[in-house]
Amino acid sequence: MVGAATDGSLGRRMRYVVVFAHPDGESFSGALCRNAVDGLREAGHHVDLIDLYAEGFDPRMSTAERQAYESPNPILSAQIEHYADLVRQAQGLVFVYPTWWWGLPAIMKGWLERVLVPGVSFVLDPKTNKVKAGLGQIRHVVGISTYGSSRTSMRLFNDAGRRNVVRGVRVLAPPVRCRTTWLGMYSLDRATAAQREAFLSRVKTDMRGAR
Amino acid sequence: MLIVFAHPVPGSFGAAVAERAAAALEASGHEVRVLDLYADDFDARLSRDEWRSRGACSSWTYLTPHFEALRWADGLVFVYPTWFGAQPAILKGWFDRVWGEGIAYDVPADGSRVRGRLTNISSIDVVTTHGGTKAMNCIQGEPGKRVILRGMRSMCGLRCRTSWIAFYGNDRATDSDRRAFLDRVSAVLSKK
Repeated sequence: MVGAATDGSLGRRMRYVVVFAHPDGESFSGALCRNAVDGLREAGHHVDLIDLYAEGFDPRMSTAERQAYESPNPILSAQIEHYADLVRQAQGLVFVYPTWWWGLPAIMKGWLERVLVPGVSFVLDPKTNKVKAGLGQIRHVVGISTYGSSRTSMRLFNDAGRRNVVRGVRVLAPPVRCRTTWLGMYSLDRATAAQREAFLSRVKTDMRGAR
Repeated sequence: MLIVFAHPVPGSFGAAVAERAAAALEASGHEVRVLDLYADDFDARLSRDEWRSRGACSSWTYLTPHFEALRWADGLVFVYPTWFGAQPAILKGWFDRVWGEGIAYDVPADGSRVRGRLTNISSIDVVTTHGGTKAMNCIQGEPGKRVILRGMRSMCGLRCRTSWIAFYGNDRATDSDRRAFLDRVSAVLSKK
């Protein structure tokens, strides 16, 4: 994509929303999240961090929310409105999570369901009821995940979480101008300390180069 | 047969689908239990304490009814709307929290591959509704279908049979489309 600007800076500054889902901030995923945020900030980007567990996010779409989903006002709480505002202002979305049962942890799956509602991430055309992409401002979608399984096993079963992010979210962003980055740490349970360190620094380096 | 049902709106099309599924299974002589995750106010979040003691989840007594239901069942029937290509968070959370080590699988001491424990389960049926088209779901990569039919199935018996009963295009469907789908649910499940 765009090379380094002629003045030596890393290119334009962007607003990134980092969504983090792990119940234990002291976990390896927690360290990955800190490195991702540090890397983005070192590159000069603005970062809004959403720590779903720390913020007590309830991922279950409520009865009232489901009933309001197709209405002009599908957002019913200040917390969701706040998250939706962050997404509207963002040019980058970063998802940091452990892959559980080949998918996103429930708390992150529910964040997609409750925040990326009609009017935020897509528009339902009232005449045809067809979905039209609404994340036109997003230029970069990033997934950072850990896996107990090997890469081969993930290929075999298919990586539902990755598909939720790089296809499900990505399809709502502009087809050409939005890039995706995937950083996966496979076979975490068998990884050595050196392998973990290497992945941690790779996350930081790659996010420092994000633009 | 254990029906695991996830929909927040009583009286919705999703609820009607679950009722049809239960009726069809009972009519063909099965004993049916329904686990209604929203009605039970099931918390979808694996907590920090649970994460830290995840190797010993069979001691989480507050989840015992869920563990017992999994052991009791010969077959699982999942009924849910597909949101963002996959199971609603409340159902994903049921997998995250209930299908733990010592319940759904064992980790052999020699470090070899995880071994499924749910050999009592000989069939999995999924009944799901999609707002969008099948094409849209394919673009999304059908993550929900793969999680259950490949993933969760691998914890069950080797000969576990699966079926996928899906309704696409609910956003644009007519009442007669929906009635036809309810009849299809009855027809497929009453043959079990």
